[in-house]
Amino acid sequence: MQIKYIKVETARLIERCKEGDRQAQKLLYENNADQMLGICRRYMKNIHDAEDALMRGFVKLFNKLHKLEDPTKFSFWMRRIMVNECLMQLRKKKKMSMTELTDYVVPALDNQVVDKLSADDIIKLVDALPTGYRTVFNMYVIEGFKHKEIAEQLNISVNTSKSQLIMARRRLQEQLIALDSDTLNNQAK
Amino acid sequence: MSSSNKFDSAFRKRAREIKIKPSPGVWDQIDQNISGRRKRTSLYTIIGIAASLLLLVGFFGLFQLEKTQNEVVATNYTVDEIVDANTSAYSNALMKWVNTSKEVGHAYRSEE
Repeated sequence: MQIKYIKVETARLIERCKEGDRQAQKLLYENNADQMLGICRRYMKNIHDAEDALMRGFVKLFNKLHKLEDPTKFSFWMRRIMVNECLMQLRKKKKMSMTELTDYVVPALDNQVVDKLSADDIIKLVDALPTGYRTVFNMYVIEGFKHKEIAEQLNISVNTSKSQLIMARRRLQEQLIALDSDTLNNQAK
Repeated sequence: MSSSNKFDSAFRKRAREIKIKPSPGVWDQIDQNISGRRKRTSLYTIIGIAASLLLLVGFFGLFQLEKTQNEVVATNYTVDEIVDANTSAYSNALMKWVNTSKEVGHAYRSEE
């Protein structure tokens, strides 16, 4: 019932935004900005670049909102706009250097450690990844893109996308082991 | 479920929960960059309000004019009526006086 009410309210808000109602646009921004900045921050190396992507993303969102026919797809559509804006900024900065692996051994990862992580820990872990690893990991694991889609978006081969993901997982495993041992050491003290 | 899938699922869940409050200046920048659309919309709104006000003033003016004309007609009618009534009263009084004078004249002549 509550979810249905929220959906109706969002649909009304979207309609008002389409009419150019500035108060509604501000409200739509305020309702979603913190979550969208969370997405941008995972892709961009610092909060300044993340806020810049957020700003550009919302400008595009309001300018293209009249093209959104189904308001139930708004959340998905908004996330995609933010991700696309981050990818555009990264392409402009040309910080992505991508290499291909020769071995495709997938490392064993400990999901129980992940459950203990805070939002700050997640950001630190993702920040520590090189831009190429971080981008493919974000797109595949968190956003749910397929390797083919990632390859098209980043203008790389499917194998390069798979390689970047495996290397990202290896790096994360190393970081998680280090983080876990630090946590255990701190608990022992 | 493989270890990668379990890891992915756990990481996805935690990562999607991340929320960061943007600095207040971000909205101001968005506001400036979509201002063209707002100005156009506001202009339409202003024109709409102005047109409605003009219509309202026009209707009110028309109503007032009609009301004033009716009052003038009503006032004229009343004055005419009063004049008519006064004229009738004067005529009646005059006729009564003439008749009375005649009667008095007859009576005087009879006595003679």
